[in-house]
Amino acid sequence: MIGDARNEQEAERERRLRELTDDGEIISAEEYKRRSRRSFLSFGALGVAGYVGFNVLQNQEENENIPRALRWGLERNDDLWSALERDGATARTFDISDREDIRVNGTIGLESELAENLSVSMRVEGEEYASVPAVAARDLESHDMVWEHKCVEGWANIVHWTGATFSDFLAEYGPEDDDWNYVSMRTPDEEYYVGLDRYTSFHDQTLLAWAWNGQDLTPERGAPLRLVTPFKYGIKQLKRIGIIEFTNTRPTDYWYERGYDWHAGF
Amino acid sequence: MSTTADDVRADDGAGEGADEVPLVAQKKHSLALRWMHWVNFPVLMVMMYSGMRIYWSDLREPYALGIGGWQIFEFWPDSVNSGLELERKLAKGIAFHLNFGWFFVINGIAYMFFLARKGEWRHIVPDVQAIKDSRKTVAHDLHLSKDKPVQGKYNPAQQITYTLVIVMAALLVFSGFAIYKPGQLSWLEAAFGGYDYARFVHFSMTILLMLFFLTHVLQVVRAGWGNFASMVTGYRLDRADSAEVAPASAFGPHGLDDIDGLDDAGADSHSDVVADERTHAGEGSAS
Repeated sequence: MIGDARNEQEAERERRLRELTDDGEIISAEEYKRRSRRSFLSFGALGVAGYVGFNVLQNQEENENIPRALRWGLERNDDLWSALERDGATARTFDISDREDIRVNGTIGLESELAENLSVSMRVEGEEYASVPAVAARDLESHDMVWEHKCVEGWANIVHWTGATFSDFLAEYGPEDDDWNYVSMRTPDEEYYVGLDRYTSFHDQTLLAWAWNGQDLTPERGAPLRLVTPFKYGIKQLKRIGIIEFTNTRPTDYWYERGYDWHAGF
Repeated sequence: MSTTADDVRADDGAGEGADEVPLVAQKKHSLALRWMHWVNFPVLMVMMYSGMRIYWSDLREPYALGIGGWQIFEFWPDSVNSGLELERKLAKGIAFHLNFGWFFVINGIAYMFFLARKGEWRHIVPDVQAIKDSRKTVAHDLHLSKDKPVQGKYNPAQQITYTLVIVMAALLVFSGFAIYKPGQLSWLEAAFGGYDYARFVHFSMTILLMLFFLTHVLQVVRAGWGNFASMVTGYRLDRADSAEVAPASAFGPHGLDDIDGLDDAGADSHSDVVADERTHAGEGSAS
Protein backbone atom coordinates (compact mmCIF):
# COMPACT_ATOMS: atom_id res chain seq x y z
CA MET A 1 0.00 0.00 0.00
CA ILE A 2 2.68 2.48 1.03
CA GLY A 3 4.75 1.42 -1.97
CA ASP A 4 1.82 2.06 -4.29
CA ALA A 5 1.25 5.54 -2.92
CA ARG A 6 4.93 6.28 -3.37
CA ASN A 7 4.96 5.04 -6.93
CA GLU A 8 1.85 7.01 -7.67
CA GLN A 9 3.48 10.13 -6.30
CA GLU A 10 6.58 9.54 -8.38
CA ALA A 11 4.53 8.93 -11.48
CA GLU A 12 2.57 12.10 -10.84
CA ARG A 13 5.80 14.08 -10.45
CA GLU A 14 7.21 12.56 -13.61
CA ARG A 15 4.03 13.47 -15.47
CA ARG A 16 4.20 17.06 -14.21
CA LEU A 17 7.84 17.42 -15.22
CA ARG A 18 7.10 16.08 -18.70
CA GLU A 19 4.14 18.36 -19.14
CA LEU A 20 6.21 21.34 -18.03
CA THR A 21 9.08 20.51 -20.34
CA ASP A 22 7.16 19.38 -23.36
CA ASP A 23 5.69 22.68 -24.46
CA GLY A 24 8.35 23.44 -27.04
CA GLU A 25 7.40 23.86 -30.68
CA ILE A 26 8.54 20.97 -32.89
CA ILE A 27 9.96 21.60 -36.35
CA SER A 28 11.40 19.38 -39.04
CA ALA A 29 15.10 18.82 -39.45
CA GLU A 30 15.08 20.78 -42.69
CA GLU A 31 13.46 23.79 -41.08
CA TYR A 32 15.86 23.46 -38.18
CA LYS A 33 18.77 23.63 -40.57
CA ARG A 34 17.47 26.87 -42.03
CA ARG A 35 16.76 28.49 -38.70
CA SER A 36 19.98 27.37 -37.11
CA ARG A 37 22.00 28.78 -40.02
CA ARG A 38 20.32 32.12 -39.43
CA SER A 39 20.85 31.90 -35.66
CA PHE A 40 24.53 31.07 -35.99
CA LEU A 41 25.09 33.87 -38.48
CA SER A 42 23.47 36.38 -36.12
CA PHE A 43 25.39 34.90 -33.22
CA GLY A 44 28.69 35.24 -35.04
CA ALA A 45 27.89 38.74 -36.24
CA LEU A 46 26.98 39.87 -32.74
CA GLY A 47 30.15 38.30 -31.37
CA VAL A 48 32.31 40.11 -33.92
CA ALA A 49 30.40 43.36 -33.32
CA GLY A 50 30.97 43.01 -29.58
CA TYR A 51 34.67 42.40 -30.03
CA VAL A 52 35.11 45.29 -32.45
CA GLY A 53 32.94 47.54 -30.26
CA PHE A 54 35.04 46.81 -27.20
CA ASN A 55 38.24 47.64 -29.06
CA VAL A 56 36.76 50.84 -30.46
CA LEU A 57 35.71 51.78 -26.93
CA GLN A 58 39.15 51.11 -25.50
CA ASN A 59 40.91 53.16 -28.17
CA GLN A 60 38.35 55.93 -28.37
CA GLU A 61 39.37 59.55 -28.04
CA GLU A 62 39.53 60.40 -24.36
CA ASN A 63 37.74 62.99 -22.28
CA GLU A 64 39.80 63.80 -19.16
CA ASN A 65 41.75 60.56 -19.54
CA ILE A 66 38.75 58.27 -20.02
CA PRO A 67 37.31 57.08 -23.33
CA ARG A 68 34.53 59.50 -24.21
CA ALA A 69 31.67 57.02 -24.04
CA LEU A 70 32.77 55.84 -20.61
CA ARG A 71 33.10 59.44 -19.41
CA TRP A 72 29.58 60.07 -20.67
CA GLY A 73 28.38 57.05 -18.69
CA LEU A 74 30.16 58.21 -15.54
CA GLU A 75 28.48 61.62 -15.85
CA ARG A 76 25.06 59.93 -16.17
CA ASN A 77 25.87 57.89 -13.06
CA ASP A 78 26.66 61.16 -11.29
CA ASP A 79 23.34 62.66 -12.42
CA LEU A 80 21.48 59.63 -11.16
CA TRP A 81 23.10 59.52 -7.75
CA SER A 82 22.98 63.29 -7.29
CA ALA A 83 19.24 63.13 -7.97
CA LEU A 84 18.86 60.33 -5.41
CA GLU A 85 20.79 62.11 -2.67
CA ARG A 86 18.39 62.56 0.18
CA ASP A 87 18.41 64.68 3.29
CA GLY A 88 18.99 62.59 6.33
CA ALA A 89 21.19 60.00 4.67
CA THR A 90 23.87 59.29 7.23
CA ALA A 91 27.06 57.33 6.88
CA ARG A 92 27.68 54.65 9.46
CA THR A 93 29.52 55.90 12.53
CA PHE A 94 31.68 54.03 15.00
CA ASP A 95 32.89 54.17 18.55
CA ILE A 96 36.05 56.19 19.21
CA SER A 97 37.68 52.99 20.50
CA ASP A 98 37.30 51.48 17.02
CA ARG A 99 39.58 54.04 15.42
CA GLU A 100 42.52 52.81 13.37
CA ASP A 101 45.70 54.19 11.91
CA ILE A 102 45.45 55.47 8.39
CA ARG A 103 48.06 55.66 5.71
CA VAL A 104 49.23 58.98 4.29
CA ASN A 105 48.41 58.43 0.67
CA GLY A 106 49.28 61.66 -1.08
CA THR A 107 51.35 64.78 -0.64
CA ILE A 108 50.39 66.67 -3.79
CA GLY A 109 49.79 70.31 -2.89
CA LEU A 110 51.67 69.90 0.38
CA GLU A 111 55.19 70.20 -0.97
CA SER A 112 55.55 73.95 -0.55
CA GLU A 113 56.37 75.22 2.90
CA LEU A 114 53.44 75.48 5.29
CA ALA A 115 52.90 79.13 6.17
CA GLU A 116 52.46 79.96 9.83
CA ASN A 117 48.98 81.18 10.71
CA LEU A 118 47.66 80.19 7.31
CA SER A 119 44.54 82.07 6.23
CA VAL A 120 41.89 80.74 3.91
CA SER A 121 41.10 82.94 0.93
CA MET A 122 37.31 83.08 0.57
CA ARG A 123 36.16 83.80 -2.99
CA VAL A 124 33.02 84.10 -5.09
CA GLU A 125 33.57 83.38 -8.79
CA GLY A 126 37.26 84.28 -8.50
CA GLU A 127 36.81 87.44 -6.39
CA GLU A 128 38.18 87.30 -2.85
CA TYR A 129 35.72 88.71 -0.34
CA ALA A 130 37.40 87.63 2.88
CA SER A 131 40.47 86.02 4.34
CA VAL A 132 39.73 83.78 7.30
CA PRO A 133 42.50 82.47 9.56
CA ALA A 134 42.38 78.67 9.59
CA VAL A 135 42.41 78.69 13.39
CA ALA A 136 39.09 80.59 13.35
CA ALA A 137 37.35 77.26 12.65
CA ARG A 138 38.27 76.16 16.16
CA ASP A 139 36.01 78.85 17.60
CA LEU A 140 33.00 77.14 16.02
CA GLU A 141 31.20 74.29 17.72
CA SER A 142 33.57 71.31 17.80
CA HIS A 143 32.41 67.85 16.75
CA ASP A 144 34.04 64.47 17.16
CA MET A 145 33.03 62.03 14.45
CA VAL A 146 34.21 58.49 13.78
CA TRP A 147 33.53 56.94 10.42
CA GLU A 148 35.14 54.75 7.83
CA HIS A 149 37.44 56.69 5.54
CA LYS A 150 37.34 55.06 2.10
CA CYS A 151 39.98 55.27 -0.56
CA VAL A 152 39.22 54.87 -4.23
CA GLU A 153 41.99 52.25 -4.24
CA GLY A 154 39.76 49.98 -2.19
CA TRP A 155 41.10 50.24 1.33
CA ALA A 156 39.13 51.70 4.21
CA ASN A 157 39.97 52.62 7.79
CA ILE A 158 37.92 53.82 10.72
CA VAL A 159 39.09 57.30 11.57
CA HIS A 160 38.23 59.80 14.30
CA TRP A 161 38.07 63.42 13.21
CA THR A 162 37.67 66.58 15.26
CA GLY A 163 36.40 69.69 13.53
CA ALA A 164 33.58 72.09 12.81
CA THR A 165 30.83 71.30 10.34
CA PHE A 166 31.34 73.02 7.02
CA SER A 167 27.76 74.29 7.28
CA ASP A 168 28.58 76.09 10.55
CA PHE A 169 31.65 77.54 8.87
CA LEU A 170 29.47 78.65 5.95
CA ALA A 171 26.96 80.29 8.27
CA GLU A 172 29.79 82.33 9.76
CA TYR A 173 32.09 82.95 6.81
CA GLY A 174 30.11 81.99 3.71
CA PRO A 175 29.34 84.55 1.00
CA GLU A 176 26.52 87.01 1.59
CA ASP A 177 24.77 85.87 -1.53
CA ASP A 178 23.76 82.24 -1.12
CA ASP A 179 23.43 81.77 -4.87
CA TRP A 180 26.03 79.06 -5.58
CA ASN A 181 25.93 75.41 -6.54
CA TYR A 182 29.53 74.34 -6.11
CA VAL A 183 32.54 74.88 -3.94
CA SER A 184 36.09 74.66 -5.20
CA MET A 185 38.69 74.00 -2.53
CA ARG A 186 42.37 74.28 -3.29
CA THR A 187 45.68 74.00 -1.49
CA PRO A 188 47.55 77.30 -1.02
CA ASP A 189 49.84 76.46 -3.96
CA GLU A 190 46.78 75.37 -6.03
CA GLU A 191 48.55 72.11 -6.93
CA TYR A 192 45.69 70.03 -5.54
CA TYR A 193 42.07 71.01 -5.93
CA VAL A 194 38.65 69.46 -5.47
CA GLY A 195 35.11 70.36 -6.45
CA LEU A 196 32.27 69.84 -4.03
CA ASP A 197 28.53 69.91 -4.59
CA ARG A 198 26.05 71.77 -2.43
CA TYR A 199 24.53 68.62 -0.98
CA THR A 200 27.84 67.45 0.45
CA SER A 201 28.82 70.95 1.54
CA PHE A 202 25.79 71.23 3.82
CA HIS A 203 25.81 67.63 5.01
CA ASP A 204 25.99 67.22 8.79
CA GLN A 205 28.93 64.85 8.42
CA THR A 206 31.05 67.19 6.34
CA LEU A 207 33.71 68.72 8.56
CA LEU A 208 36.60 71.11 8.39
CA ALA A 209 38.88 69.13 10.66
CA TRP A 210 41.94 70.18 12.65
CA ALA A 211 42.55 66.92 14.53
CA TRP A 212 42.82 63.26 13.59
CA ASN A 213 42.54 60.39 16.09
CA GLY A 214 42.80 62.88 18.93
CA GLN A 215 45.95 64.63 17.72
CA ASP A 216 46.37 67.91 15.90
CA LEU A 217 46.88 67.34 12.19
CA THR A 218 50.47 67.10 11.05
CA PRO A 219 51.37 68.85 7.76
CA GLU A 220 51.21 65.62 5.74
CA ARG A 221 47.78 64.88 7.18
CA GLY A 222 46.46 68.27 6.18
CA ALA A 223 47.29 70.86 8.86
CA PRO A 224 46.05 73.35 9.68
CA LEU A 225 42.57 72.64 8.30
CA ARG A 226 41.32 69.94 5.96
CA LEU A 227 38.06 68.78 4.47
CA VAL A 228 36.66 65.41 5.59
CA THR A 229 33.37 63.73 4.74
CA PRO A 230 32.19 60.12 4.66
CA PHE A 231 30.22 60.96 1.52
CA LYS A 232 33.24 61.23 -0.75
CA TYR A 233 36.29 59.13 -1.47
CA GLY A 234 39.55 60.31 0.07
CA ILE A 235 40.56 61.90 -3.24
CA LYS A 236 37.96 64.64 -2.59
CA GLN A 237 38.98 65.30 1.01
CA LEU A 238 41.38 68.16 0.48
CA LYS A 239 44.27 68.66 2.89
CA ARG A 240 45.64 72.07 3.86
CA ILE A 241 42.78 74.26 2.67
CA GLY A 242 44.12 77.50 1.17
CA ILE A 243 41.26 78.68 -1.02
CA ILE A 244 37.50 78.18 -0.77
CA GLU A 245 35.67 79.45 -3.82
CA PHE A 246 31.91 79.51 -4.41
CA THR A 247 30.76 79.17 -7.97
CA ASN A 248 27.97 78.14 -10.28
CA THR A 249 30.28 76.46 -12.77
CA ARG A 250 31.24 72.96 -11.77
CA PRO A 251 34.86 73.31 -10.65
CA THR A 252 37.48 70.93 -11.91
CA ASP A 253 39.02 68.35 -9.71
CA TYR A 254 42.55 67.01 -9.57
CA TRP A 255 41.61 63.35 -9.96
CA TYR A 256 38.70 64.07 -12.29
CA GLU A 257 41.28 65.34 -14.76
CA ARG A 258 43.13 62.07 -14.33
CA GLY A 259 40.29 59.78 -15.27
CA TYR A 260 38.12 59.47 -12.14
CA ASP A 261 34.50 60.48 -11.88
CA TRP A 262 33.71 63.94 -10.60
CA HIS A 263 31.07 62.85 -8.11
CA ALA A 264 33.36 60.25 -6.47
CA GLY A 265 30.81 59.99 -3.72
CA PHE A 266 28.72 57.56 -1.77
CA MET B 1 0.92 -4.25 -52.09
CA SER B 2 1.21 -6.80 -49.42
CA THR B 3 1.96 -5.53 -46.00
CA THR B 4 5.00 -7.05 -44.38
CA ALA B 5 6.53 -6.42 -41.07
CA ASP B 6 9.29 -4.46 -42.78
CA ASP B 7 6.85 -2.14 -44.51
CA VAL B 8 5.18 -1.29 -41.26
CA ARG B 9 8.51 -0.41 -39.76
CA ALA B 10 9.42 1.73 -42.73
CA ASP B 11 6.18 3.66 -42.47
CA ASP B 12 6.70 4.25 -38.81
CA GLY B 13 10.07 5.69 -39.61
CA ALA B 14 8.98 8.50 -41.93
CA GLY B 15 9.51 6.36 -45.00
CA GLU B 16 13.11 7.35 -45.50
CA GLY B 17 14.72 3.99 -45.06
CA ALA B 18 13.99 0.97 -43.06
CA ASP B 19 15.90 1.70 -39.85
CA GLU B 20 16.02 5.45 -39.85
CA VAL B 21 14.08 7.49 -37.37
CA PRO B 22 13.56 11.05 -38.64
CA LEU B 23 15.37 13.92 -37.02
CA VAL B 24 13.18 16.65 -35.62
CA ALA B 25 13.95 19.68 -33.51
CA GLN B 26 12.10 20.90 -30.48
CA LYS B 27 12.24 24.39 -29.06
CA LYS B 28 14.19 24.44 -25.81
CA HIS B 29 15.25 28.03 -25.16
CA SER B 30 13.27 31.11 -26.11
CA LEU B 31 14.90 34.02 -27.90
CA ALA B 32 14.70 36.17 -24.76
CA LEU B 33 16.43 33.51 -22.70
CA ARG B 34 19.20 33.11 -25.27
CA TRP B 35 19.82 36.85 -25.40
CA MET B 36 19.94 37.14 -21.63
CA HIS B 37 22.24 34.13 -21.42
CA TRP B 38 24.75 35.40 -23.95
CA VAL B 39 24.74 39.05 -22.85
CA ASN B 40 26.13 37.81 -19.55
CA PHE B 41 29.26 36.49 -21.20
CA PRO B 42 30.86 39.71 -22.55
CA VAL B 43 29.43 41.80 -19.71
CA LEU B 44 30.86 39.54 -17.01
CA MET B 45 34.17 39.34 -18.85
CA VAL B 46 34.44 43.14 -18.79
CA MET B 47 33.21 43.27 -15.18
CA MET B 48 35.74 40.72 -13.98
CA TYR B 49 38.57 42.30 -15.94
CA SER B 50 37.83 45.82 -14.75
CA GLY B 51 37.14 44.51 -11.26
CA MET B 52 40.57 42.90 -11.18
CA ARG B 53 42.10 46.22 -12.21
CA ILE B 54 40.35 47.89 -9.28
CA TYR B 55 41.36 45.11 -6.93
CA TRP B 56 45.00 45.41 -7.99
CA SER B 57 45.29 48.99 -6.77
CA ASP B 58 45.63 48.03 -3.12
CA LEU B 59 47.37 44.75 -2.47
CA ARG B 60 48.49 45.32 1.10
CA GLU B 61 46.07 42.74 2.45
CA PRO B 62 45.24 40.57 -0.54
CA TYR B 63 42.54 37.94 -0.42
CA ALA B 64 44.09 34.52 -0.42
CA LEU B 65 43.00 30.97 -0.85
CA GLY B 66 44.08 28.63 1.89
CA ILE B 67 43.13 25.83 4.20
CA GLY B 68 43.58 26.43 7.91
CA GLY B 69 46.74 28.49 8.25
CA TRP B 70 48.18 27.11 5.05
CA GLN B 71 47.98 29.55 2.17
CA ILE B 72 47.82 28.15 -1.32
CA PHE B 73 48.00 31.38 -3.27
CA GLU B 74 47.16 35.04 -3.15
CA PHE B 75 44.84 36.81 -5.57
CA TRP B 76 46.27 37.32 -8.02
CA PRO B 77 49.67 35.85 -8.78
CA ASP B 78 52.09 38.34 -10.38
CA SER B 79 51.91 36.46 -13.65
CA VAL B 80 48.18 37.17 -13.83
CA ASN B 81 48.60 40.81 -12.84
CA SER B 82 51.16 41.57 -15.50
CA GLY B 83 49.79 39.14 -18.08
CA LEU B 84 46.38 40.81 -18.04
CA GLU B 85 47.82 44.33 -17.68
CA LEU B 86 46.00 44.94 -14.43
CA GLU B 87 48.67 47.24 -13.01
CA ARG B 88 48.11 50.97 -12.68
CA LYS B 89 44.79 50.97 -14.50
CA LEU B 90 42.51 51.92 -11.61
CA ALA B 91 40.71 54.85 -13.25
CA LYS B 92 39.94 52.87 -16.38
CA GLY B 93 38.99 49.89 -14.27
CA ILE B 94 36.44 51.97 -12.38
CA ALA B 95 35.13 53.59 -15.58
CA PHE B 96 34.48 50.22 -17.22
CA HIS B 97 33.11 48.67 -14.04
CA LEU B 98 30.62 51.42 -13.24
CA ASN B 99 29.37 51.58 -16.84
CA PHE B 100 29.11 47.89 -17.68
CA GLY B 101 27.68 47.02 -14.28
CA TRP B 102 24.38 48.51 -15.40
CA PHE B 103 24.12 46.04 -18.27
CA PHE B 104 24.40 43.20 -15.78
CA VAL B 105 21.80 44.84 -13.52
CA ILE B 106 19.37 45.44 -16.40
CA ASN B 107 19.92 41.91 -17.69
CA GLY B 108 19.30 40.57 -14.21
CA ILE B 109 16.08 42.51 -13.77
CA ALA B 110 14.86 41.35 -17.19
CA TYR B 111 15.69 37.78 -16.21
CA MET B 112 13.76 38.08 -12.94
CA PHE B 113 10.71 39.21 -14.88
CA PHE B 114 11.25 36.38 -17.31
CA LEU B 115 11.51 33.81 -14.53
CA ALA B 116 8.33 35.08 -12.93
CA ARG B 117 6.14 35.76 -15.94
CA LYS B 118 6.97 32.85 -18.20
CA GLY B 119 7.07 30.42 -15.32
CA GLU B 120 10.65 29.61 -16.21
CA TRP B 121 11.46 29.43 -12.50
CA ARG B 122 9.65 26.09 -12.40
CA HIS B 123 12.33 24.65 -14.66
CA ILE B 124 15.09 25.94 -12.44
CA VAL B 125 14.08 25.84 -8.79
CA PRO B 126 14.52 22.25 -7.59
CA ASP B 127 11.82 20.51 -5.58
CA VAL B 128 12.61 18.34 -2.56
CA GLN B 129 12.86 15.22 -4.70
CA ALA B 130 15.31 16.92 -7.07
CA ILE B 131 17.52 17.90 -4.15
CA LYS B 132 17.48 14.26 -3.01
CA ASP B 133 18.19 13.10 -6.57
CA SER B 134 21.09 15.48 -7.20
CA ARG B 135 23.51 12.95 -5.70
CA LYS B 136 22.45 10.46 -8.37
CA THR B 137 23.09 12.98 -11.16
CA VAL B 138 26.60 13.58 -9.91
CA ALA B 139 27.22 9.83 -9.60
CA HIS B 140 25.88 9.36 -13.12
CA ASP B 141 28.00 12.18 -14.55
CA LEU B 142 31.10 10.71 -12.91
CA HIS B 143 30.25 7.36 -14.52
CA LEU B 144 29.81 5.77 -11.10
CA SER B 145 26.22 4.84 -11.78
CA LYS B 146 23.96 4.21 -14.72
CA ASP B 147 20.94 5.39 -12.78
CA LYS B 148 19.70 8.72 -14.17
CA PRO B 149 17.08 10.45 -12.05
CA VAL B 150 13.82 11.70 -13.53
CA GLN B 151 14.17 15.28 -14.71
CA GLY B 152 12.43 18.09 -16.50
CA LYS B 153 14.26 20.64 -18.64
CA TYR B 154 17.28 20.53 -16.33
CA ASN B 155 18.60 17.69 -14.22
CA PRO B 156 18.62 17.98 -10.41
CA ALA B 157 22.28 19.00 -10.26
CA GLN B 158 21.71 21.67 -12.90
CA GLN B 159 18.68 22.96 -11.03
CA ILE B 160 20.63 23.34 -7.81
CA THR B 161 23.62 24.90 -9.56
CA TYR B 162 21.55 27.37 -11.58
CA THR B 163 19.53 28.38 -8.55
CA LEU B 164 22.74 28.99 -6.62
CA VAL B 165 24.18 30.95 -9.53
CA ILE B 166 21.15 33.24 -9.51
CA VAL B 167 21.56 33.77 -5.76
CA MET B 168 25.28 34.40 -6.21
CA ALA B 169 24.67 36.90 -8.99
CA ALA B 170 22.15 38.73 -6.79
CA LEU B 171 24.66 38.83 -3.92
CA LEU B 172 27.26 40.09 -6.36
CA VAL B 173 25.04 42.97 -7.46
CA PHE B 174 23.84 43.91 -3.99
CA SER B 175 27.31 43.79 -2.44
CA GLY B 176 28.46 45.87 -5.42
CA PHE B 177 25.92 48.57 -4.61
CA ALA B 178 26.87 48.39 -0.92
CA ILE B 179 30.47 49.17 -1.91
CA TYR B 180 29.43 51.73 -4.52
CA LYS B 181 27.05 53.83 -2.38
CA PRO B 182 27.57 53.12 1.33
CA GLY B 183 26.34 56.66 2.09
CA GLN B 184 22.96 56.79 0.36
CA LEU B 185 22.60 53.02 0.76
CA SER B 186 24.12 52.71 4.22
CA TRP B 187 21.39 50.16 5.12
CA LEU B 188 22.71 47.90 2.39
CA GLU B 189 26.27 48.27 3.64
CA ALA B 190 24.99 47.40 7.13
CA ALA B 191 23.10 44.37 5.74
CA PHE B 192 26.42 42.92 4.63
CA GLY B 193 27.93 43.60 8.04
CA GLY B 194 30.02 46.54 6.87
CA TYR B 195 32.19 47.69 4.00
CA ASP B 196 34.93 45.09 4.41
CA TYR B 197 32.45 42.22 4.46
CA ALA B 198 30.63 43.62 1.44
CA ARG B 199 33.95 43.70 -0.42
CA PHE B 200 34.70 40.15 0.69
CA VAL B 201 31.28 38.94 -0.51
CA HIS B 202 31.73 40.79 -3.79
CA PHE B 203 35.12 39.18 -4.35
CA SER B 204 34.06 35.69 -3.24
CA MET B 205 31.00 35.66 -5.46
CA THR B 206 33.21 36.63 -8.38
CA ILE B 207 35.57 33.73 -7.70
CA LEU B 208 32.64 31.33 -7.33
CA LEU B 209 31.14 32.56 -10.59
CA MET B 210 34.49 32.07 -12.30
CA LEU B 211 34.52 28.49 -11.01
CA PHE B 212 30.96 28.04 -12.20
CA PHE B 213 31.94 29.38 -15.59
CA LEU B 214 34.75 26.81 -15.91
CA THR B 215 32.46 23.97 -14.82
CA HIS B 216 29.73 25.20 -17.12
CA VAL B 217 32.04 25.22 -20.15
CA LEU B 218 33.36 21.78 -19.24
CA GLN B 219 29.85 20.38 -18.91
CA VAL B 220 28.78 21.91 -22.20
CA VAL B 221 31.79 20.33 -23.91
CA ARG B 222 30.82 17.01 -22.33
CA ALA B 223 27.19 17.39 -23.32
CA GLY B 224 28.20 17.93 -26.92
CA TRP B 225 27.52 20.17 -29.86
CA GLY B 226 23.73 19.77 -29.91
CA ASN B 227 23.47 21.10 -26.40
CA PHE B 228 25.66 24.11 -27.20
CA ALA B 229 23.80 24.78 -30.45
CA SER B 230 20.47 24.76 -28.63
CA MET B 231 21.57 27.84 -26.68
CA VAL B 232 22.27 29.57 -30.00
CA THR B 233 19.43 28.32 -32.16
CA GLY B 234 16.86 27.67 -29.46
CA TYR B 235 16.15 24.19 -30.83
CA ARG B 236 17.41 20.80 -29.92
CA LEU B 237 17.83 18.49 -32.89
CA ASP B 238 17.41 14.81 -32.16
CA ARG B 239 15.88 11.56 -33.29
CA ALA B 240 12.12 11.79 -33.30
CA ASP B 241 11.82 8.93 -30.82
CA SER B 242 14.42 10.32 -28.48
CA ALA B 243 13.55 11.34 -24.97
CA GLU B 244 16.02 14.20 -25.34
CA VAL B 245 13.81 15.95 -27.84
CA ALA B 246 10.46 15.43 -26.28
CA PRO B 247 10.39 13.66 -22.97
CA ALA B 248 6.61 13.56 -23.03
CA SER B 249 6.40 11.98 -26.44
CA ALA B 250 5.58 8.55 -25.19
CA PHE B 251 3.03 9.76 -22.71
CA GLY B 252 1.99 13.31 -23.29
CA PRO B 253 -1.01 14.68 -25.13
CA HIS B 254 1.01 16.55 -27.75
CA GLY B 255 4.75 16.23 -28.29
CA LEU B 256 5.73 13.60 -30.78
CA ASP B 257 2.23 12.15 -31.07
CA ASP B 258 1.54 14.83 -33.63
CA ILE B 259 4.53 13.95 -35.73
CA ASP B 260 3.92 10.23 -35.34
CA GLY B 261 0.40 10.72 -36.58
CA LEU B 262 1.60 12.59 -39.63
CA ASP B 263 4.24 10.01 -40.31
CA ASP B 264 1.67 7.26 -40.06
CA ALA B 265 -0.33 8.98 -42.73
CA GLY B 266 2.59 8.74 -45.09
CA ALA B 267 5.40 10.67 -46.64
CA ASP B 268 3.14 13.23 -48.32
CA SER B 269 1.71 14.68 -45.18
CA HIS B 270 5.18 14.74 -43.68
CA SER B 271 6.29 17.06 -46.41
CA ASP B 272 3.16 19.10 -45.71
CA VAL B 273 4.55 19.85 -42.29
CA VAL B 274 7.76 21.04 -43.85
CA ALA B 275 5.81 23.13 -46.34
CA ASP B 276 3.83 24.71 -43.52
CA GLU B 277 6.97 25.56 -41.66
CA ARG B 278 8.43 26.99 -44.83
CA THR B 279 5.52 29.32 -45.24
CA HIS B 280 5.88 30.26 -41.62
CA ALA B 281 9.57 30.98 -41.98
CA GLY B 282 8.94 32.71 -45.28
CA GLU B 283 6.82 35.31 -43.54
CA GLY B 284 9.77 36.24 -41.45
CA SER B 285 12.42 36.36 -44.11
CA ALA B 286 10.26 37.99 -46.78
CA SER B 287 9.44 41.00 -44.68
